[in-house]
Amino acid sequence: MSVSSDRAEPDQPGRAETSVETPEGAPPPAPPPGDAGAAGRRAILKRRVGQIAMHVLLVIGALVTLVPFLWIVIASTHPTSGIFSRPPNLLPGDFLVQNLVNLQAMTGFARVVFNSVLIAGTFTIIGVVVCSMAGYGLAKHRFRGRGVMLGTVLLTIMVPYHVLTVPLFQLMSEIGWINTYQAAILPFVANAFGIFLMRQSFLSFPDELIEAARVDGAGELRIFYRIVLPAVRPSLAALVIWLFIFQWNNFLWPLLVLTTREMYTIPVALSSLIGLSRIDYGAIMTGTAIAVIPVMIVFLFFQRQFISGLLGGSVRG
Amino acid sequence: MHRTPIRWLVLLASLALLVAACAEDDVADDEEVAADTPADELEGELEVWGWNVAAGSLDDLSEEFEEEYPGVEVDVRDIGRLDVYDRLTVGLEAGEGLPDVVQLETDRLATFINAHPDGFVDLAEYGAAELEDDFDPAMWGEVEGPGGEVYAMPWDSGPAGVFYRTDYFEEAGVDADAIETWDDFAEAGEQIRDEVGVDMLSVDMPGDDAEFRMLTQQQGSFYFDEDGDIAVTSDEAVRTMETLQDMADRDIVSNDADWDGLVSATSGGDIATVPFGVWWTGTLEEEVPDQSGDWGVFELPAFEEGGNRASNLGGSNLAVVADTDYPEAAYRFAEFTMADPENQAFGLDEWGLFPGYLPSFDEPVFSEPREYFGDEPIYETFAETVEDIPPVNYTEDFAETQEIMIDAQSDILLEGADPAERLEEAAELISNQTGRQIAE
Amino acid sequence: MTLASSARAVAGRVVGRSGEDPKGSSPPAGRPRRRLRGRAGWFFVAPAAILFLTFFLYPIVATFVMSLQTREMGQMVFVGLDNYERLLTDPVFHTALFNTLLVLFVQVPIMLVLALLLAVLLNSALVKARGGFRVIYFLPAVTSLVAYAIVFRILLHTDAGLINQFLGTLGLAEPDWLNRTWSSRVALMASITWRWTGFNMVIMLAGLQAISNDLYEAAKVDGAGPVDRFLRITIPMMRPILLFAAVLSTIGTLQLFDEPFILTGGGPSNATLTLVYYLYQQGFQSLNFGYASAIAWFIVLLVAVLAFIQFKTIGREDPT
Repeated sequence: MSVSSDRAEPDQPGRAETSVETPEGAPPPAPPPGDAGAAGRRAILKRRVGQIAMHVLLVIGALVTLVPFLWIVIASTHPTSGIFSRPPNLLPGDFLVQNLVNLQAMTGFARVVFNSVLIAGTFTIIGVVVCSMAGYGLAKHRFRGRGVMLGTVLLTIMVPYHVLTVPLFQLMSEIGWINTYQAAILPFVANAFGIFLMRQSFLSFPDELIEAARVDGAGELRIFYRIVLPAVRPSLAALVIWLFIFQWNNFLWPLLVLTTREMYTIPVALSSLIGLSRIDYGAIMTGTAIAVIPVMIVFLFFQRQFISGLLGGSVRG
Repeated sequence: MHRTPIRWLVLLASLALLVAACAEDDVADDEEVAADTPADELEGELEVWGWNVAAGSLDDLSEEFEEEYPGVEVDVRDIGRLDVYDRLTVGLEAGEGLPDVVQLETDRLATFINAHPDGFVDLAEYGAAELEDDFDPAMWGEVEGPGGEVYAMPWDSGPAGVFYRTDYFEEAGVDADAIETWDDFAEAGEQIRDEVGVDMLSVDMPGDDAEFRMLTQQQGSFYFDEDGDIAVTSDEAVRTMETLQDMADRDIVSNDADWDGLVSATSGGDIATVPFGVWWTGTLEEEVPDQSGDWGVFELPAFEEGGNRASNLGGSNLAVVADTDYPEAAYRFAEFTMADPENQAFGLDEWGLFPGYLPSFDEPVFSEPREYFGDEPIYETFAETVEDIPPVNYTEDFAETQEIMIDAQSDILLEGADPAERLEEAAELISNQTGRQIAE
Repeated sequence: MTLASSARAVAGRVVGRSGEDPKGSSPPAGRPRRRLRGRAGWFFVAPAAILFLTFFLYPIVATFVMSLQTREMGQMVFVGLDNYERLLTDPVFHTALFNTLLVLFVQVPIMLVLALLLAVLLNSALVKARGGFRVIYFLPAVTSLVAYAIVFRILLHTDAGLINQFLGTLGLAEPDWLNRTWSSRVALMASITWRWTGFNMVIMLAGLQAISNDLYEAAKVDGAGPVDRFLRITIPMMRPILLFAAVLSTIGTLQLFDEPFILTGGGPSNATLTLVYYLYQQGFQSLNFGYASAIAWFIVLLVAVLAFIQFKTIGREDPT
């Protein structure tokens, strides 16, 4: 009943529909040859139909998902008056450059994008280290106070953020951090969701392998860094993506602690364009469309990890 | 492991007590006030928060101010409207991170002053009380405390009128001058709907009760009466809701969500009128430039012939935060920008901010023709209504009450609830939430 | 031997105790390692612990203290449990609670199932252009809120909105989306689903990737079809990640604020008012921070209970 590990090499392309990847763009694996015949062909046909149905569903879903976003992109090429025309303008206009110029003039958008990248980038780097370490400690080590620690992690996300802002803001001004990058980065960097995500991911890692490494005399940090961490690469990628968009979209806290225009992040700068009687929606749409680009770069880069994270392979290596 | 959560709770509880014991409120001491430093000796650095056009106008004026007061530096920060409130709220709660001068809308003022009576400088200490006669009395009433304190300088107000599409009215054969009552207005609306095929006005039915506030104030009523009792069951309030419901029933109301909804209904040419505050001028000129020449203004229709046709929607003030290190310089800045005819006229001309400072009404901008409005001097029309605008009592419970009233409006206009009954219900809820009495 | 038992046996072998009982095995007896590991454990959690102590201890305690206070004449004074008692009789709070639980019990399950299906599909070799699909489905999660609100209001406009124009061409009913009690709730839930499904899909993709291929191979040898494999291998092996997604969505829902704030303003007539939106109204609009904090601690209690149940049922573990 046991399955020996050499029965299916982890790196070898298998045929299970649910789990195995082929390089992007390559055709799916061919059905097993040799068992031709009516039944085999029917099975192939059935699979084909299923495959086409899957694609149709995915494309419909993708269209539904894309429409609102495409609309933002189109709106970014119109002046405010063109955005609200009825019926809506469905074709791109020629106002993109002017919107960009306005956005830069009103918010200093280049600097704002820089701030966002710096803050979200630093936040993500520190966050990945802190969260994966804490998640590992909580999942794979037993120590006094572990329960308290897990409870604290959960407590910090259970208390609604809005009421925490007042005392947290007090704390920031006591230590003189108002209008500094670290005030925007550090308080939320031990991100509870991130820690929890990593804990859940490490839970699936076999204890025997850690024990074996200890017997071999490996240090705890080395075990973590060299053996355990590589095995959860897909989760690390998810963590990076989570941390980055959390901070990228974070609004209320940066609004409170970043008080001058040169320090604003993108959501804060876009929000500052909303007054009472005049709002430049063209500039807001353009800012939104631009704001997506860096996140998509991060996403595209890290989602590739979802192809190569088979558990067995990395342990062996 | 099982005992730890309890120990954790005990720790938390004892910490709570510790924090409670340490929590002292910093109450500003009464300071000696020296309010007459000569302009060239006054020193300070002022951080000013405002939004959008208001911040723009302050920023323009700050240069002149700095010339007159060479020792004072002014930094105007243009922050989004809700963002100013979020920051100010947290800043006042925390007692840290506050500006020196801040823009506050009239309807929010009482809420902030009530929660933080020591949070703002009493400008009367610097001589603001002497300016009382120069300001629109309704606006002055809002910034004045019970003991003669002056919590802010009145800035702009929103005298109301009906903005209308002259071309649609002409096409439908409706004479705007003949519209004297809201009944006339609704009938004209039906005519325009039939002839032109557009709605008469736009209301954000589930989201904003601007029309209700404007029309009750027109009749000398509001959420609260002058004693602060709940007045939403008054005849005036019920009549307002009935009028709005009647217009909705006649199918002449377009329901558009939020500011962008109104802007798109306007720029799409879907509505024939916008009964609103004077500041709508700025939006039209800016956001709907291609309709220049198609718009005019007439006074709000009355509820009965010969009735009051003046009301107000919106308006803001400039307050000095008590946390400031330079209260006198801050006051001078507020005085310079708010109580100067030329500077206020500049704000109107350049930024569409209608002054509450009466001496500025003699400035040329009031009688100048506006190109956008077919060369009519529309500001004159608004200025003429100012003395007839009834004062209202916003109270510190404005925000909470507004939420409840928007819900009532939503049920009345969208679900066909009976106005009198639904307002009765709303009054009960307001009373529950705020502890106020319902006016007899 | 049944398929289930073989899969579970394989799972037990490959992932050790984690899927079933994370606390079941104890370290081998008689070794001095225990203490060492205790110290190592603290070493790993220390950075997070220090950050929490520095930045959250005081705010959390202060919030709790505030929930026992109210403002009188501009000063905060202690009123015991008055704020909590007010929760019991405040009809607006009850509406907000109902609305929030409605989203939790209706929208969250739909979204998680959708996300799981998407993740499985976009993990499958049979699907072409997976990377492209992943990007598209993930896009909504990174769209700035201001623009998102405007777009959805334009799409959902009763007369001029694209959605109703589309439904009209199909000859279907055209709901008065943001103006009716239930249609506005549907619109709210749809927009939350739009924004967050892709993100949950990414989390689940990560979980799927951690499942060893051996398990599927073994099950195939035993003759299991795709559905069997999904139910007997994917779901049990995904347990920790499903727990994470469920807890995350529960907390996210109980703290739902952005969508109702920008899309519906809580209306019509409070039909989409959520707990945290009400908290915001009380704290940031009416400046009743005492009452707002009491609402916050009610939410903490509710999340704790729900998370406990989820740990027990989905995670099958004993939360400490």
